[in-house]
Amino acid sequence: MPASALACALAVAVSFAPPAAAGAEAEVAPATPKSAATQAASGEARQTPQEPRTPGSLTECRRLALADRLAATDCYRGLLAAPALDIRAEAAWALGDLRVAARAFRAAIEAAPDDADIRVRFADMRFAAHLAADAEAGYLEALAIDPAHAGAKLGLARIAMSRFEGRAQELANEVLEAQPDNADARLLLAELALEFGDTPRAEQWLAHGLGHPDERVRLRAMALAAACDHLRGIAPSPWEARALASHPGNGALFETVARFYIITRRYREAVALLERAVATDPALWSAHATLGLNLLRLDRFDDGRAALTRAHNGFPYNPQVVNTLRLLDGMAEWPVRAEADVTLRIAPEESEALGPYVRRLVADAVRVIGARYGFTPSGPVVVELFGRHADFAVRTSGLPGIGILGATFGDVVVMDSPSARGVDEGFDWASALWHEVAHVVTLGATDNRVSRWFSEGVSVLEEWQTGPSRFQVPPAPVELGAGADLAPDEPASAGANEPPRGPAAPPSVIKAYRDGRLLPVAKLDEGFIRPSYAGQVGVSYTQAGLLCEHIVATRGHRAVAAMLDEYRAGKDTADAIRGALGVEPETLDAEFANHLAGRFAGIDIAAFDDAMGRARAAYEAQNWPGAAAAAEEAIAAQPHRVDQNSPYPLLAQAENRLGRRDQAIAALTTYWQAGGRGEAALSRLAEWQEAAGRAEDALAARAMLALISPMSPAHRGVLGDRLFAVGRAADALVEYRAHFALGPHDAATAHYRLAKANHALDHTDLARRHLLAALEIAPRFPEALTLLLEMAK
Amino acid sequence: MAERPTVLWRAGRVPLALALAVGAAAGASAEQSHMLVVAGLGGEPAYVDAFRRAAAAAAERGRAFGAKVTVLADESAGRDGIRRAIADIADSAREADSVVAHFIGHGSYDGEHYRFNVPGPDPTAADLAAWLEPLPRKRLVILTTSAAGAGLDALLTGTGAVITATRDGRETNAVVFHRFWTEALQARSADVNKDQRISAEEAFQHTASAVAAHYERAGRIATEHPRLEGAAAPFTVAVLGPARPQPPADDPAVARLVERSETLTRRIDELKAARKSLAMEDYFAQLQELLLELAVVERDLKRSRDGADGQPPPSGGGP
Repeated sequence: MPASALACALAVAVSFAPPAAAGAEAEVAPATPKSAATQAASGEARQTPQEPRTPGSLTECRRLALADRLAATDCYRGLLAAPALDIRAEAAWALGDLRVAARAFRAAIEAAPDDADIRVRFADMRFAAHLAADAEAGYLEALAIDPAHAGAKLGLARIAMSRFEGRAQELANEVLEAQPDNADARLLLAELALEFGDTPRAEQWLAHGLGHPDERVRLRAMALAAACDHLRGIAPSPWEARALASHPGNGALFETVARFYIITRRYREAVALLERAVATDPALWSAHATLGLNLLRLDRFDDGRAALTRAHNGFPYNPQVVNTLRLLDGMAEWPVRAEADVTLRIAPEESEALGPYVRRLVADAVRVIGARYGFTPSGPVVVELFGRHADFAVRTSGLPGIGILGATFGDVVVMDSPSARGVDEGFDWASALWHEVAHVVTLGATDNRVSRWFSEGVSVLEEWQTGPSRFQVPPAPVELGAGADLAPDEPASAGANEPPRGPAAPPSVIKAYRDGRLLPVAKLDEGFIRPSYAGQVGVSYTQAGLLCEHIVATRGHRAVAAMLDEYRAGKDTADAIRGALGVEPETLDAEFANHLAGRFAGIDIAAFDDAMGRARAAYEAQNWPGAAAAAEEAIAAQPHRVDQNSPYPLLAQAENRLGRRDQAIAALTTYWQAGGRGEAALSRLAEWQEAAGRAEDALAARAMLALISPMSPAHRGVLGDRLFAVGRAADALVEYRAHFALGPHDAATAHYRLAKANHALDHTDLARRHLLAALEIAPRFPEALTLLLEMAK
Repeated sequence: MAERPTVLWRAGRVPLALALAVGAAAGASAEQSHMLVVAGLGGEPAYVDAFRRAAAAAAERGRAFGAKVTVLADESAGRDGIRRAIADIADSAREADSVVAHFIGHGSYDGEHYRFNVPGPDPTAADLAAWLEPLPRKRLVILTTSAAGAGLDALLTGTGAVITATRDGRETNAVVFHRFWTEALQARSADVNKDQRISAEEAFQHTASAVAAHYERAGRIATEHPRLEGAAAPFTVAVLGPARPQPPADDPAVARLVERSETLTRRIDELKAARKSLAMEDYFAQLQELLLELAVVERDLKRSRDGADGQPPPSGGGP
C-alpha cells in the first residue's frame, strides 16, 4: 500500500539530544554544532504558527528573518539577554540552540506556572523538534490552565494531523467557532482539505489567509494555494512567482507543495520540488530530509543518502533521518540482484531462500495483473524485503512502530520479509507481495493519480482472484491460476441471481456493514487516511476489495481499466465513476449495498461463534462426532472462513479421528482452496495426501508450504526431495539451495542434496564439491558414498 | 530383540575396529546398554499423555538397539519405584556397561533444591544423584523437565554427561524439550555423521535447535534453553539402520573390510586435521581418493551383510 498516507509520525523519544547519541541526557547540545547564522530562522524546528504576546523586538526579528537572515541572526542574538525568559527562549529557538531554548522555556514556566502561552510555545518547539509526545503533554497542560486556548488546540490538531487522526479537523473547527478569524485554524483546515484532494474547499479556507495583514500568514497561504494549483495540474503555479517575488529565499514554498505530491504518491514531482526548495534555501534542513527520504522511494540510494547526510549535518534531531541513515549503513552490504524485470534487495542471509520465489511472484504478478489492466512497468520492479519489521518501518516512514506490512512507491516495493513475522501470525507474505505488485500496476497505469481506495481495492481483489492465496473453491467466479494470462473480460459473475462467491469477509466488515458504518465510495479514502473508529482501516481494505469485486462482477475488468484511465486523466473518484461506469457515485453505492446484501446473506456470526465454541469443547472432550458436527454447523453459518478461527482444520482433525481420512483431506482441501494458509493444517494435508498415495496433490501442498514458510529448512528440503523424485532436478536445486542457505542442522544432508541435484543437471564441479563436503562431515554417509561411486564411473 | 553386545563409540574418535574386536573376541566382557525411562507426574491429561508417549518412544528406540530398558510410569514412577529400579540396574550392570537414565515430566525449584515431580514425595536432584551413584560411571542422565537446569550440577558428579531441558531453575514453565527429543530419536537429520546411530549428543543438538526454532516460530520468548554438560557422544539413544556387521571369526575377508574401513575413516580424520596446511585442491584430491576407497569398502561390507546381490563376499577394500 502506498505508505505516505500511513507514515504515522510516531516520534521517538530523543529529547533534544541528537538521536544518534544513544543514552544522551536530555537537552544536550547537537553533535555537530553549527553557526547561529545558519540556524537562524532556517530549516527544521522553526515553525512559529502561533505567536501570542509577540513583543515588538521579536516581531522585528521575525520580519527580518523573511528578508535578511544575517540581520535576523543579529536581531535574535540581541534578544538572548532579554529580561523576559520566554523571549530569550524564542530567540534561542530561532537561533537553533534548542538546549538553551528549552532551559529558558522551563525557567519561564517555573516563573509563570499559570501562563498557558509559554507552555504552548514550548510545546510548539518540541513538536517542531519531532518530540510529539512531549509536545502533546505541553498542549494538554496549557489546556488545563485555559481550556479554550486556541494555540494549544491547534497544536494538538497538528499532532493529530501528523498521526493521520481524524480529530484534527474537529479541533480546528472548535478554534474557529470561538475565533472565526483565526488564521492558523483556517490554514490548517485548508491543509486538511488538500490532503483529501478537495481543492475547492481548500481555496475557501485560504481566501482569508491570502489577504491577511501578517506577511508570514500570507506566505503560508500562498504556498498552499500553489499546492492547490499543482493538485489540479497547474504547474508551475502563479502563486510561486508571487511568493518568490517578495521573498526569493522562500524554499518552504516548494517544500509545502511537495508535501501534497508525496501524499498523492507522486514522488518524482515531489523530488523535483524539494530539489528546488533546497536550492532556494540551502539551510532548509527539513526539505533536505524529505528530499532524502523521497529519493530513496525512487530507488536513488546514493542521492538519497547524500541528502539525508546534509539534513543530519544541519539538524541532528530528526529521528527519521538518523534512523534511515543507520538503516542505509546496514543495507550497504546487501546484494542487489538486478534483472530485466525485477531488482531485488534482500539481506544476504535471506537472499538465496527468498530470491527465486520473489522473482517468480513478481514476474507472474506483473504479467497477470498487467494484462488485466493494460499496463506493464517500463523498468524493473524493485523489491526490498526486511527481516525486521522495524527496519521496514524505517525504510517506509523513517520511524518504527507502523502497523502496515508492505508499501509501494511507484515501482519500488518494500515489505516485511517472512522472517519478520510468520504465516501463523497472519502474514501471508507471498499474497502481500502480490498485493503490492498490483499497486505497481495501478499506480503506474495512472501516473500515480489513482485514489487510495481504488488502488487498495484492486490489490485486494487481485489477491482474491489471481494471487498465490487466491480463492479457488469450485465453482469459483473466476477460474484462474497465478501466472495464467488474463485479459480484460466480461462480467465474471455466475448469474444475475447468484451472489458472487469469494473469500469470507472478516466479521468486523460484516458488522460494519450491518451497523451502517461502511463509507460511501466518494469518501472511502477517509477510511484509510483518517479513520474514525478502531479497525476502520482494515474494514476499508476489505470494503474496497468488495467494491472492486462488484465492479468486475457487473461490468468486467474493462471497467476497472476504464477507472484507471479516468484517474490518469486527473479525475477524482466521483468523476472517475461517472466517466468509467456511467453512474453517479450514489448509484454505485446503492448497487454495492445490493451486492453486499447477497454476499453476506445467510451469514450468522453469532451462530458461527457458538458452533465453534461447541466444536472446540467437543474436540477437547474427544467427542469426535460432536466436534465434526459442530464444525459443520460453523461452516454453514459462514462458509470459507480461513482465518485463525477457521473450522476446517478442526473438522479435518475430527474426521481423521473418526477414521474418515478422505473427509479429513476434503476439509483441508477446501480450507486450502479458500485461501487458508495455516502451516500445521497444510503440513497435515500434505502428509495425509502422501499417505493416501496422492503424490501430485501432496506435491502441490508441499510447494505451498515452502512458499508460505520459505525460511523453514524442513519445508524447503522436503519439497526438494519430492521434486527430485519426480525428475524435476532444476526445481529441486532451487529448494536445496534455499535449504542449504538457511543453515540446517544436518549440513551433510544439505550438501548431499545439492550434490545429487547438481549431478542430475550435469553440474559436475558443483556436484563434486558438495559431495566431498557432505562426506567430509559424515564419511560413512551411505547415500553420499553411493553417489560418489556413481560419479566416479 | 535378542540382547547382544552393543558397541558405543564416539563417531570418528573411538576406533570401531577395536570396539568390534573386543565385542567379537571377548563377548563375556562386552558392554551392555541399560536404559531407565521415567514418566513423572503429568497433572493435566494432556501432560500425562505427552509424558507417557515420550517415555514409550525413548524406550522403544532403546530396545531397538538392544538396550535393557526399564520404564516407569504412573504409580510405579514414585520415589521408591525409581530408587528400586536404579538399584536393580546397579545390581545387574557391570562396570563396562553404560546407563542412560531419562526423567520426563515436570520439575520444580525452590531456590535450593530441584525436585522431580512424581506421585508421592518428590525426589530431589541430590536424591537421584545418590541413587545413581552405584551405577557404572559411564552413565548419562537426561532431565526433561521444567527447572531441570537446577539439578544439573548435582547429577553431573560421577556421571559421564547430563542433559537438562532448561538452563537453570528459573525456567519453570512446562517444557517442550521432550517433544523434540522424541522427534530427534527418529529423524535422519539428527544423525549428523550418518553412521545410522543417533548419539545423545546428536539428539541433543537436534532437539536444542528444534526447541529454539519452536519458540521463534511461535513468536514467543523462549522459556527453556537446553544444556548439555559432559561427553554425550559415546551414548547411543537410537539407531536408524541395521547394525554394522560383526566380523565373524571365520570370515577374515569381512574382518579385513571392517579394519580397512576403520583405517580409512581414521586417515580421513587425520587429513581433516591437516587441512589448513594443505592447498585446497590437494586436500580435496586426497579426500576424494580416501572417500572413493571407503565407498568401495562400505559397498562391499553392505553386500556381505545383505547378501542380496548374489555376489561373492568381497576380497578386500584397499592396499
